Order: sequence, then structure tokens, then C-alpha cells
Amino acid sequence: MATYKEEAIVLRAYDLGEADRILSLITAGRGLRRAVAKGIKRTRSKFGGRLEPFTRLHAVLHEGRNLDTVVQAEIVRSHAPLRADFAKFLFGEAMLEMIEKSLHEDQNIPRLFDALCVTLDILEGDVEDPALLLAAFELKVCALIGYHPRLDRCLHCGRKIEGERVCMDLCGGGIACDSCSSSLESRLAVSPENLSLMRSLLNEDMATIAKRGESHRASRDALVTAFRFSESFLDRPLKTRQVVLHYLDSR
Amino acid sequence: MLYTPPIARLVEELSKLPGVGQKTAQRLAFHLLKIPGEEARSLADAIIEARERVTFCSRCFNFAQGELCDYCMDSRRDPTLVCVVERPQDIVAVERTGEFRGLYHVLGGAISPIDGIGPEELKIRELLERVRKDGVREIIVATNPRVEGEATAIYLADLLKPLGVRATRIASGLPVGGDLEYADEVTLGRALKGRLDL
Repeated sequence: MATYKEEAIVLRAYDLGEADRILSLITAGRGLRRAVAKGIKRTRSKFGGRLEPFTRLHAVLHEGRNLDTVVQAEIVRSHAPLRADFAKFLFGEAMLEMIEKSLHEDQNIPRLFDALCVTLDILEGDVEDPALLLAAFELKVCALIGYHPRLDRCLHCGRKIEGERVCMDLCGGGIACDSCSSSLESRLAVSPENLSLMRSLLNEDMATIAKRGESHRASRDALVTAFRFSESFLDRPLKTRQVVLHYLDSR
Repeated sequence: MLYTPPIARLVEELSKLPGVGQKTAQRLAFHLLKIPGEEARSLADAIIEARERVTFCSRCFNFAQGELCDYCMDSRRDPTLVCVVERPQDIVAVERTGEFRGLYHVLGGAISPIDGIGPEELKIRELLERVRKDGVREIIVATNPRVEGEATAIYLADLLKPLGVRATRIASGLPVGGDLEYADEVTLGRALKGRLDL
């Protein structure tokens, strides 16, 4: 079993026994990995606050049969501002979970790591509406893992869609016009305004989206549509979503 | 069958405990069979008694033997000062310092959206109720200095400030006996931010 160096972002940490934790990491070169951080819960641990979720680090890991072991960790960017703002923390956690649930262990899609790095860096700064940033992130991750949503033409008849009420075909991975959508089993009604916003979120870069401001209703609708779309491809439920929507509804 | 049924059952039940695997459960089971019957019965009685008599304090949600826990019943403690912790075990850690003479409030965990735990799953509503009713003047948030604990602290501060109560956070920084050279950036940064006049 070899020791290797990787740049990684901590997605999640679970308690293991009295003082250890299991980390879920997305690495730049080896995709999703799980590793044990021994003794991390002790106040005198050599890891200190280096292995908290959101932290981007240079890690030295020892490969194990089931789990790797963290040998060394140096912070590249702690993303500390995400811990100081509840909304940013909440939407950031949703992003981390999206990445964790999109990949199988050892599966590597390098652009996912890059996308998460860029998005967390942006989330740390001034963001007009973090819900829009999360909706865009969900759509872009879907595209990167091979489920690029088709939002310009009807999936079934190929007709170009412009300014009309349509349905999201949740199994097909795109929109369906009014006449084609009646027979669909799994669909979600999408207003022309929501469709237009979804297209922008998919096509614009994250820095531009961070400056975008929409009404509360519009950004919530876009987020719900993005959630429903990505849920149809991920075979596991995402726990952050309920908390995110509850938070948005309480504002 | 590896063991006679009563031993197999004992091993199975012990292996359900946190951190106890099959091998440890087996070792514990054989130890319990070796000790005098009186000692084994005393252990069984202790488990049953704790399960039957321990409840949650209706005010702070610490473990209690009746309606209120020992801390809430102690009239010498300052009821206007409340320390908020994640779990009842954390109270023991704070008490060991001997530095705190107020009351406690146990949230029952920290906000962790990735585990599906939002503010509604914690005893936050009850804390706000206490602040309104009991004339609390300061809330010390002593959640764990992890991402989830920090987020919970921020969330509580946002709710408490409009109520006119002072919300404070326990300091975090270098452990006593630690070495500056080995401190991580986050911890050292916090230690610098929270520096004190000499």
C-alpha cells in the first residue's frame, strides 16, 4: 500500500470511535476518497482545524484496503468566511453534498474538483443570492457528470422552445413542450421566466451568477427545479435540500 | 453454533454498543461470566435503574432524575447566565473547569444540513422561550468549534440579538502546553483575533 500526495477538499466528516473521524474527500487526481484522521478530536491533535469541511488542503495519505489514512495536511484555503455566515454555510454544505453524492468511490471527474474550488471561492466573497449560485452549481455538476440538461428544444419533437410554459422531463433530462409532456410520467411544470433563468444559470459563469439578483420566488423556483432535475439522476436522497428549502421559506 | 444461546445473546447485545465490535463483545461477555454473580447483577441493575429513572430536564434538557436537573434546582447558580452546549456530556466538561456558575441549555446536537439536521431538530425554540420568560441577560454559546458548531453559534446569535440579550462565544485558540509552530492557520488566526491585554 502506497503513500500519495493529493490536493483535496474535505466534503464531510463522520465520527469514528472516541477520537477518530472518517473524512470524505474530493481529490484533484483520484476523485472521491475516504480517509481516517486518527486522534483528530483530541485538542492536542496534530491536525488541529485543518480537516474541517470546506477546507482545501495539500494532503499526504496512506492508501488502505478500505479506507486511506491521513498522514499530513496543510491548508491551501480554509474558506473560513463560510463558517461565519449561516446562509453561506448552508448553501455551501448543499454543494459539498451534491459533489459527494454525484461520485462513486474512486470515480474521478477532474473538472468537478475545479468547479467546487471555483464555486467555494466565489461563495466566500460577495454573493447577491446564494440560492441562485447553488441552483447553477447543481445544473453545472449534472452537466459535468454526463447529464447536461437540454433546455432549448423539446426533447421529444425537437421544436425550439421560446417564451412558453413547458414541463421538465425528469427522466429524459430536458424540457418537453406542452403537447409532448402530457404523456410523461415524471414531469415538473416550468414557467417561461423560470426556463429563461435556468438557461442563464447553466450558461453563465459562476462569477457572473454571483452578481445576479432575482426575486425570492424566482430564485426559489429555479432552485427547486434544479433540485428535482439532479435528484432524478442521483440514486441517493440529498439531506441538505430539506434544510435549505425550509431556510428559504422562513426568510 | 459457536456459543450456547444465552452467551450468544449476550455477545449480540453487547456488540450493539458504540465502539464495541464482535471480538470486544465476546471478551466482555466472557468477563461478565467470570466475575461474581453479585457484580454482574449490580451492573444489570445499574443499567435498568438508569434507563427507568433518568429523564430529560424540562427546562434545560440535561439528564435529570425528576422534572428538573440538579443544576436547574440549585438556587446558588445565576439563572440570568446560560451556557448553551450540544450534548449533556459537554456540561460535565464545562463544570470541570469550575469557572461557570450559571445554568445550561442542551441543544441536542448542532446544525448539520448534510446529516439532515436543521434548526427545527434542535431545542432552539425552547432556548428562545427561556430567554423571553426567565430574564436571561447573557447566553454563552459553547458548541464545539467545528464547522457545524460554528454555524449553530452564528445562527443563535442572529436570533438572540434582536431579543436584547448578550450572546457570547467561548474563545478558541491554542491548547495550553501546545507549540505555536505546529498550530494550523485557522486556530492560530482565531487565537490572534481573540488576543487579550496583558
